[in-house]
Amino acid sequence: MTLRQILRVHVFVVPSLLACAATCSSGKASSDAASAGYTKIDDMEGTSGLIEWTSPPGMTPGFWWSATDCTESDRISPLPFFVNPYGWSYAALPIPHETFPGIASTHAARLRTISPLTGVWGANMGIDFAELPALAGGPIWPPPMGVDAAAPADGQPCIQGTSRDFNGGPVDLSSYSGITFWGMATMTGARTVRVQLNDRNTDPRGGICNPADPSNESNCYNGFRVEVAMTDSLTQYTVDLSSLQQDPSWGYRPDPDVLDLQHVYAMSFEVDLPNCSVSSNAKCAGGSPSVAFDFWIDDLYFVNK
Amino acid sequence: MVRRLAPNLACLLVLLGAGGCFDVRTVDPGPYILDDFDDGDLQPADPNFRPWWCHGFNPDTLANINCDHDTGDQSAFSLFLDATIVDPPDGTQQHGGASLGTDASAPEDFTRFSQFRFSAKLESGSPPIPSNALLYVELGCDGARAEDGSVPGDLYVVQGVDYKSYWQPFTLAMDSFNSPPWLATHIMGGPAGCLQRISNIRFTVDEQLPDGQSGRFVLDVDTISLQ
Repeated sequence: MTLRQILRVHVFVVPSLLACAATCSSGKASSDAASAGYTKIDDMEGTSGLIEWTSPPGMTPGFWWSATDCTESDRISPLPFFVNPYGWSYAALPIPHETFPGIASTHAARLRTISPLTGVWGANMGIDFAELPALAGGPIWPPPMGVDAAAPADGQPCIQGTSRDFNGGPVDLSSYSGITFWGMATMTGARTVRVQLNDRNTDPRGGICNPADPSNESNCYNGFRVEVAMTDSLTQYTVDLSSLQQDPSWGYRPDPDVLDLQHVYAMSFEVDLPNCSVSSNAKCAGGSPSVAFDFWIDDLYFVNK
Repeated sequence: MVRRLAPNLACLLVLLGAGGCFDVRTVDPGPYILDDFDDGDLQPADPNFRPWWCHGFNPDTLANINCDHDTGDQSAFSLFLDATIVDPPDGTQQHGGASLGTDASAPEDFTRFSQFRFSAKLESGSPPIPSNALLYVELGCDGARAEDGSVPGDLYVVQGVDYKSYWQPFTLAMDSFNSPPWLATHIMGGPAGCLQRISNIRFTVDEQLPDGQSGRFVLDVDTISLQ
């Protein structure tokens, strides 16, 4: 029994074997058939870090990044984008894995701690779905702020990364009903991964959660999310976009409190540290919480309506 | 024919049922354990509540405020709050103290429970706290509305506890929680309006320190449950 109100969050675990039993065979034709009904976002097999989803006209593909609090940026791998703009890479899977029938995967997006994070919000990796043209004809990558963040002036605090470092724009995802991917996490670390989408209401680039001052992001990033408890073997998870919900305790919350599917900026996979208090003026019992983790995300697709 | 037969069949089943033997005793599901601390972590057993925290107030401070596991009341673990409070020498009694608390991720309805149970002991330290120091259980309802329709964000209901310096069990009737007399804002719907959307639980000690004095205490809490 739990007091918690059961959120209508739908995460379906789909054993790959069931799908395989119906359609498994080798060859491209069968692969296409197996993934029919889905639209690829990225299969994490390349080296560019750019996603494969076809961006809207006038935009370019988004790219992968990782982030954590800048005070502990050396504790995660890959390094945060604001420390090393060129630091992202996919990781080789321990053993190749079949996702959709006939589709073999050898690499995945992987985020792990090198040493435990302590007393910060957590860490995440994610993507913008698409980037707007670079301003003044400049390069889209690296983000201009990322170059400076690694070396703050002497005596000055490190510079936190923000989605405003990227030139991402909103995209229309209303032709999709969900997102599916394969994921796993080592059993020795945190295994609950938050899947989160930020739309124009929750991404600071939308200008709604930070109307007076774009740099004041204190009410931003309370995105639409679901928590996925992973196992130590690659398992397919499907998230229903209509079931994503915000944290009701903080941040900007639109009315109605639903994801604006026509204006979505970004998606992330995040591990949070236990947050003992909604008030900053409190001390967590037992000292600052810490967390270690190592999780993998593979073959990320939209579920077509 | 079918339409006529169906009601008759239903009546027959009701009559059969009325004449049968059924065990209609209710089964007590037992208390709902919010946290007994015996799992060794500081995350309440109810996953909707976040890990325990502590802080000092009047003035707000984290200095000389600590909370962690301790030996339990006939169990492996409890939770302690060790606090030294200083009343600033400014001619005014500040009613300083400290709290142990846990915040809910989403509001919970406590009106479906009749009792709030726990064990506690409060020991004076060095320098000692006044003998009239007060221990409260406070149930916060940050999202509750005031009678003027506003949501001030810091509303709560409270109940005092007649503590000892040794372990004692306490049972507080849920309908005995009331708005604190020192809170000028009235909760829409009265105490029940707060209990319907509990956002945090706090064990609070008001040391009742005279102006300019300081005092230290250790509060232990164990086996918090709802009945």
